[in-house]
Amino acid sequence: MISPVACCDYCALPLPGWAGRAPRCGGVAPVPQYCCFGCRFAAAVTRERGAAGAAHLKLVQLGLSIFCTMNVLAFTMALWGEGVYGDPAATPAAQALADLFRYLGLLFSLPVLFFLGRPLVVDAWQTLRHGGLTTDLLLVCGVAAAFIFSTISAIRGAGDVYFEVGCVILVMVTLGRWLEATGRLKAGAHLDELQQLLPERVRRIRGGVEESVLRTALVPGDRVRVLPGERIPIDGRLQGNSTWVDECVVTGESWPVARTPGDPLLGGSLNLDGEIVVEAVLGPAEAALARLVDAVRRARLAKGRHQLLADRIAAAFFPVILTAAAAAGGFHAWRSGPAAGILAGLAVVLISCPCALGVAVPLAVWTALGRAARRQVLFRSGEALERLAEIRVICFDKTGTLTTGTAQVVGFDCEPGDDPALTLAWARDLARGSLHPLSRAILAEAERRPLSNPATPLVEAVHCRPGLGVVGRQRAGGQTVALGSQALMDHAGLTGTPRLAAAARAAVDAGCPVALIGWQGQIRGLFTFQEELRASARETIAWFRQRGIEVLALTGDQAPRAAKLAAELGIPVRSGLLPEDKAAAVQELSQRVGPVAMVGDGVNDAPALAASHVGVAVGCGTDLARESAGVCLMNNDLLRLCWSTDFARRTMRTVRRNLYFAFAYNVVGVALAASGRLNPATAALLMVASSLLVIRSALQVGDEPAAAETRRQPMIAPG
Amino acid sequence: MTDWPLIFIGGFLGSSHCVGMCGGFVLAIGAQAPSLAANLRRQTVYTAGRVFTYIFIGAAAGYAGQRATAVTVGAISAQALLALVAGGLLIWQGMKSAGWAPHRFVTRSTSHFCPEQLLFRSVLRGPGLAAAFVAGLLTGWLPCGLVYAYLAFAASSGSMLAGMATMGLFGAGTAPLMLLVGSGGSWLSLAMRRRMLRLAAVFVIVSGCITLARGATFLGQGAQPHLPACPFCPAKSP
Repeated sequence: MISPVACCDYCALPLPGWAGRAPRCGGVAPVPQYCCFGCRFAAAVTRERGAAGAAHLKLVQLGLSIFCTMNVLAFTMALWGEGVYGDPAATPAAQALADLFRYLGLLFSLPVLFFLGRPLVVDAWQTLRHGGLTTDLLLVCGVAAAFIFSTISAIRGAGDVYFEVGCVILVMVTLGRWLEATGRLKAGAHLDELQQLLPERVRRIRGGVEESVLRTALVPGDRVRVLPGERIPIDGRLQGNSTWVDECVVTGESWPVARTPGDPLLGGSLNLDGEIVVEAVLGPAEAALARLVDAVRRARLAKGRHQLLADRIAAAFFPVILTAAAAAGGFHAWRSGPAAGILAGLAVVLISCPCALGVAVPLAVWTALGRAARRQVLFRSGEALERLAEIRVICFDKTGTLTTGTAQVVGFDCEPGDDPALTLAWARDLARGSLHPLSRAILAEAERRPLSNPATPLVEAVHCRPGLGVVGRQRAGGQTVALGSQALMDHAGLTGTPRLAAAARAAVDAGCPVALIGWQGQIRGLFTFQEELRASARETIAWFRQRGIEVLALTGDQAPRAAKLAAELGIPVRSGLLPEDKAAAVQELSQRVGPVAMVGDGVNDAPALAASHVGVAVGCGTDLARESAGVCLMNNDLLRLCWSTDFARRTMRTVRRNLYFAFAYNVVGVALAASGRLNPATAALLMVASSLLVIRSALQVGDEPAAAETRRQPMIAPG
Repeated sequence: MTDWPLIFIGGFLGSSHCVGMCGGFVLAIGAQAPSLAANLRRQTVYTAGRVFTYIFIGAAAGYAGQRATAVTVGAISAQALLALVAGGLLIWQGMKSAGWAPHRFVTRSTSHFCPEQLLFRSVLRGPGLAAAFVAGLLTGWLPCGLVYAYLAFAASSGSMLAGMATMGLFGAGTAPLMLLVGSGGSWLSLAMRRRMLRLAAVFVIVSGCITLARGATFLGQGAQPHLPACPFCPAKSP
């Protein structure tokens, strides 16, 4: 769940410290809370849009303010242009005209003050009451000073007027803040798209009656009817009909899977063809998709190093800017009069509005997190993204990562006197008692061959001997049958013929796993297996090598098998490693070469994942709880890892570019403004332009020029 | 100035281009009007907003030209340079819309985010004449090659008033066609529009040539202050 912090009611970001006493996220706040002026404005616009037929009052007010500002600017230009400005030798007619223009400026700036100045003042005042000092407050003070000064000039009929400065600032600040808030909302849009896949209302069946209830009102045990083409709202168990479901959103599996009654169903997956009833197993908040959205949301709150840096700068910013503005204002006031002082101070505040800096990093990172989630890649934090972009070495766990985790029977050998079909049938019945990949492979092999009497089990009392194999009792004859490793055979006192023993040794030396089956004191059959490499393993390795990243594999297997893998993939393989050894190997590599990414299934290689610079868990669509990995690929496609790395690099490029830009812009801008060479109106314009630039670039983070990857992956269609 | 009619005709014929670009806007503006009269009112207010923006940026351009001229007195004539630039731009724009200049298509990524559009769309759909006016006001700011070309022309006039007049005339020229399209839908066939566009291009190019010639003349006359007198003030002695 989201940690209990107070959040903005518009952009769902944590509120700044001063509003910490506000109600928690998710709770219904009596008074809406907003993190900034922009969100307040944007929320007002949205609210009005919701009300049927109501005019977009706020936007129209903004538009009319723009109109008035243009008028004020025109009069000001006329004042500047005609050379009557402060010209003591001007004719009476010119004087009168100048007076008229001054008053017209005052007249046209009043609506702007009313429409845009008032909300800004209200916002700054509320912040101040909570003990928060913001740049908005400085702006309000500056603008007020400029207006008062100009009004006095207009009434006196002499001196400069700065109505246009105040108007442009108000328009630009409002526009800028609104854009910023919209940008923040947009950054979360990818996440919302995911969340909106879950239906808001569901058909609950209770006591034979169907009723429409909110999804969030479901509790475990509730039964829900889901029609074909609808999303399954909760994690549950299938009842009633069999169906095909599309679990792509959750697991990344692009092929539909068949589900029969009793099978588990994942919340968020699409019911393809049957009308089904789902019995909820978990609450609505724990549905697979809800967990994903929640994980990304939490990732958004976890700040990366770049963001912390930006925050640190921004925190130091306010006092620095306050000092700079006061110093510039004081100096210019002393040298060229109070008006010059006000203008210089205002320009400093405006140019340094920390918009660019405050928005540069988080917007880019949030957009990236949401985008990645839509591609079934979960970054646990912005930092994981940063770290993945930096890697120099990538280590793959073997089983379940480079290989599919399943095996294939490539050889079945039995003693000449026995019936191979019967031996295989016994092996099959024993294999049913275990979930080991090799047992699965034997089952698959048995299904491929015609066996006598496939339905009736020939073996009973099957039980598993962990780490060794399976044993059972023949139904006819009561003999004990054992299926498993050589160690199990030794343990059960079974001995093999020299022929089988030699075959087994040869297979082991060739790097193939084997299983033996025997009864009545003798080993009678030998299964030889081959592990399946993932289809994309070679391509993935080649991708990383091309980019100068060192690739190697770590495995707990013995040397011969490791050598076989090394030959197949053409990468160094370190064999015979226990989980702790893997972690040590990762540490050694990171000291010798640089940041290491460890890719594994996230279960038995957790220590290595934790020891690495960034851990990547593969195929954890249904199991987001694998916390040891900073990055979770929800499906098993290793190519997604290439995409993620590339994506992380592109994101970090954007973040760095944004940071540099924001920093350089602020330094140059403040220096210019403090020297009094920057008109505050220009500064306001620059402020909007700079934040537009940054927001744009942040929201386009990771955009790729129609890469092949985009086409290969089915995108999630809403609905 | 002798080329006022040319500006108006350039705007009028050039608006066949506007219809292509901004036709959607005027239709959106009229979409909610219950009657033709109401629609026409909305269209007029919308157009007024647009022309207001043109006049304003014309004033700004004229003012900028005026300042540039004033600042560069004694050096090379800024007005002449501006006129040359404006002439070049007009000719370039004319050739582009006539299809005689190479086109470059800018492709943008699909996820392109345009915050300005958000603001724009909200206002465009808003009921009430004020919303229509604001929509027009904002439309005037939309980037448009033709507007830029005439803006350069306005700057080269070297006076705020002349700049305002230039852009006002240009805007007024664009009004009739946009009003018609907005209230009557698309009665102009594509072929007709293309022919008009070609004709407009010729007018724009002619304007460009005249401006170029004027610039060349200024340049030939050498640098001299060219501040037009304010119509409200008595003439200043030079």
